[in-house]
Amino acid sequence: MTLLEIADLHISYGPVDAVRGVTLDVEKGGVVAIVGPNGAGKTSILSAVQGLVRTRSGTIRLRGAEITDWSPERRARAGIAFVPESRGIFGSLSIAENLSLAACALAEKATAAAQIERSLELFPVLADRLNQRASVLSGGERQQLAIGRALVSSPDLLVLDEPSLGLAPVILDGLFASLAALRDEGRTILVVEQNVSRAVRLADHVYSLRGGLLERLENPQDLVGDPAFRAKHLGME
Amino acid sequence: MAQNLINALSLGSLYALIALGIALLFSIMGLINFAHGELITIGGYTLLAFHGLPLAVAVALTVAVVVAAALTMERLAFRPARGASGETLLMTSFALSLLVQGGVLLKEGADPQSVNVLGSLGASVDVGGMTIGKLDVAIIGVTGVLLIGLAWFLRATPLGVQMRAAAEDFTMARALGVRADRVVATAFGVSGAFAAVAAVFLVARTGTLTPSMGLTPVLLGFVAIVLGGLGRLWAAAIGAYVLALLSVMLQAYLPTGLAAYRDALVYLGIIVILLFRPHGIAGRPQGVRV
Ligand SMILES: Nc1ncnc2c1ncn2[C@@H]1O[C@H](COP(=O)(O)OP(=O)(O)OP(=O)(O)O)[C@@H](O)[C@H]1O
Ligand SMILES: [Mg+2]
Repeated sequence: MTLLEIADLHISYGPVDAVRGVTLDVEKGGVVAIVGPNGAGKTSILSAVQGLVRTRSGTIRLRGAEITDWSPERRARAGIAFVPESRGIFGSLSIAENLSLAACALAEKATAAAQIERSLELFPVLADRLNQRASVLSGGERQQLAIGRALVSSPDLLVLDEPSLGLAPVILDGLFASLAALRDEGRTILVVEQNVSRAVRLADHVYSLRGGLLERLENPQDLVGDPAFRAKHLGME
Repeated sequence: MAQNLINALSLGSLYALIALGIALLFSIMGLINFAHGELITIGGYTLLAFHGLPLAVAVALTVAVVVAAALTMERLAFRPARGASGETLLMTSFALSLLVQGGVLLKEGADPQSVNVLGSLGASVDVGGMTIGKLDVAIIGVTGVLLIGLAWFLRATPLGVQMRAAAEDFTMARALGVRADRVVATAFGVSGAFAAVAAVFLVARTGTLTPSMGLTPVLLGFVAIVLGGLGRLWAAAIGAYVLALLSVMLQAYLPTGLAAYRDALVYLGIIVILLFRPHGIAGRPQGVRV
C-alpha cells in the first residue's frame, strides 16, 4: 500500500523555483531517502509534506486522501511527524513537556504515558533529565529528544530532515541504530540525509534531488563507491 | 510608607492585569492589540448596565460579556488576518479599536457617566494605625489569585503547555499537532477575562465612564510591558508593579511645587531604567517566551 503520494509538486519562493515537478511515492513500511546538494529543495519537499510551506501546484496524498490544503496540525493528527533540520525543540519547556506536547496528535490520548515511556526506553539519556529545561541539552541530545518526541504521536509516517547534522560519529551510530530499529518495526520513514553511506544502508529507495528535480537512483551504492557519481549527485569533491 | 506600598501594589495589580492581557497575545501571535482598551471600555459599560444587581453577579456577567467580545474580535477580525505581518495585525487592531469606540460613543454618548459599584468595598479598615481601603485589599487579593491561576494553567495543564510552546515557536507547535485556533482563542479568552476584571477595578477606583476610558490604561499597559521586558510574559507583571511604585512614590514624596511634573518624572525614571537595562527589567534579548 502506498502511504504517501507526492505528485508533480512545485514550490516557489518569489522568483526562486525551489521544487520543479517532483513525484514520489512512499510505501507503507518503507524507508525512502533523498540526497542532494545544498539548496536542491530537500527541506522544501519535507516542509510541504508537513504543510509548513505553500505549494504552487501539485498534490500530496496520505493513504489516498488528498491533504495538500490541510493545516500542519491536521496532518500531525493524521499521522505525520516531522523532525526539522533545526530540531524544533522548545527550549523554555522541560524535556517532559516537550515529549508530552506531541501527545496532542494522538488519537488515543490515554496511551500518551505509554508512548512517552517507549521513547524514553529508546533514548535513555532523556529519562534522567525529564524535568530539566530542554535548552540545556547538547546537539545530540536535542536530536534524540526531537525523534523521541516525534515517536510519541505514534506516527504512520516519520519525516526526518538531516538527522545526522552536527552529530559526532559515536552518536551517529546510536542514532542510525535507532532508525534501523524503527524501520524493522515497520515504521514508514522519509528522510533527507547528507551522510550517504548511512542513508544508503538505511533506505529501501534512494532519490537524488538536484535543482528541484528528483531522480531515482538504481544503484545508490555508487554514491559511496564512485567519486564521479558522487560528485554528480551531491555536488561536492 | 506602608500605606503608599499598599497603594502601589493596588495600582500595580490593575496595570499587571492589563499588561498581561496584552503580553499574552503578543507572545503567541505577535499581535499588539490596541483594541484591548476597548475591552476595558466594554467591561465598564457592561458593569454600568448591570448596576443594581448583587456585585458578584454583575462582575460575573461583565467577565462573560467581555470574554465574548474578545472571542468575537478574534473570530471576526484577527483570524482572517492570522499569519499576516505584525504591521497588518497592528492596523487591524487600530481599526477595531476606533470602531468599538465609535459604537460606544453612539450608544452611550460622549459625556462621562458615573457609577458607584463599590458598596461596602468603599469602606476602609484600621490595621495598626494604618487606614487601608477594602478596595485595595480586594484588588491586590483578586489579582494575586488570578496571576497564580494563570501560572498554574500554563504549567500544569496540557493546553497551558501548548500555549507556552506556541509562544516560543507557533509553527513547530502546529507541526506537532497543537491546534492553532484553540490556542489563540484561549489566549483571547484569558486576555478578555483579565480586561474585564481590570475594568471593574478601574471603575471602582475612579467611578467614571467615558467611551475612551480604555486608552490610558492600555498605554500604561504597553509602558509596563516595555519596562518589564518583551522577552517574558511575567516580565510584564514586574514592569506593571515597578511602574505603579514609581508613580505612587513620586506622588507621595514630590514637593508640591514639582507635583505637576510627576508623569514626566515617571517617564524619566523609566528611560533611566531602560538605559541600564535596554531589554527591560526582566527581559531577554532573544525571542519572546512565556
Ligand atoms: N523561505 C524561503 N524564502 C526564499 N527562498 C527560500 C526559502 N526557503 C528556501 N529557499 C530557497 O529555496 C531553495 C531550496 O531550499 P531548501 O531549503 O529546500 O534546500 P535544501 O536542499 O534543504 O538545502 P540544504 O542542503 O542547504 O538544507 C534554495 O535556493 C533556498 O535559497
Ligand atoms: Mg535543508
